[in-house]
Amino acid sequence: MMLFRTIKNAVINDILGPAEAGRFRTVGFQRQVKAAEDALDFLRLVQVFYSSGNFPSSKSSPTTPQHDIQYSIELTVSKASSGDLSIINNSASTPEQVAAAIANYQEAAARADDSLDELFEIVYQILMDGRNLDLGQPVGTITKRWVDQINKDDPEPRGEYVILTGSMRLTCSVAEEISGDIGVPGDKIYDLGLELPPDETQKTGLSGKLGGDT
Amino acid sequence: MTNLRGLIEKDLAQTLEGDYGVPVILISPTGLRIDKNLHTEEPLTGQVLYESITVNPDTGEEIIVNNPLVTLRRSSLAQVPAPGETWHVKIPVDPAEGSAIMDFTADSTHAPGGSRSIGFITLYLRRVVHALESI
Repeated sequence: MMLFRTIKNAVINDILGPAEAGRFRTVGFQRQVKAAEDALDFLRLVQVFYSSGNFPSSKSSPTTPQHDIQYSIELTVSKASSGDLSIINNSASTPEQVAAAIANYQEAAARADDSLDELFEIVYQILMDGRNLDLGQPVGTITKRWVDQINKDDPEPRGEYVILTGSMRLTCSVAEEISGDIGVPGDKIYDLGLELPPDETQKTGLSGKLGGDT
Repeated sequence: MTNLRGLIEKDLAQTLEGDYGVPVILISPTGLRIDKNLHTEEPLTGQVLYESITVNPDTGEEIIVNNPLVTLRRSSLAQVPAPGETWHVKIPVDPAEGSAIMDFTADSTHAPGGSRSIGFITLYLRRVVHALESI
């Protein structure tokens, strides 16, 4: 298996996965449709996938090309608005108390923004932790591990909630090995063999008795 | 002689508040609780649509989302929500009688819709949960 796949699996299973601690969830592919409920509160979603790579020929040998890898880490959070409902739902609350509670509501977009910033911090700190310098690989396998970009998208109302996405770019360089591909034989689609029915009357074969007895 | 829009406004008593009306409670930014219909003094009701069709911006396909919309007759309200105001709205979880009441906010990020000339207002709701912390 090429190193870019090994490293992706290590980032998901050995680095981000054990660090989740109920704060987010990690998956290793691009989920096409993300429902707001799937990323609500601490179900925050972290998607790690290989997004692009370069093989600079000037830095490579014919059998061990340098692979400058870029992983995309997409973060998704979703939030509802929040407020002190104990005051709203208390029949003994005065209108002034209720008005103060409503005035202190936190909009869903603001909460989603806070939540995504916190998730950026968590994931960045995990990936850039000195203990993860080699991203779970033997020392010296990886060079230049770096998170070089963070982007935040616009908050988007989705049903009752607001969903907010962002992305981080994790880069590193490795020396891949070219072992060649021996291929895997596939299943035969048409495997009846070439079995001609026997020429019982011996009228078509050269050994038959064409034209009567000779 | 009543004009056509006046007739339509009167019809809202049936089309919005009739047999299919769902109980709605509004709480204004000043703490005023509106749970009575000004015309009838009975519990305030309106039309509640729980789901709506929207386009998923990621894929471009149409999806159905839980996106409650509450449409009310303006003349039934003691105070009408204005754009930019944050109102608390309580509606049942589903239209069945006796179902639990859920808390929403008609927040300032989405101005109310509807028609002033016909006399109804539509509120776009977001869930509100009990939390004192931001995270």
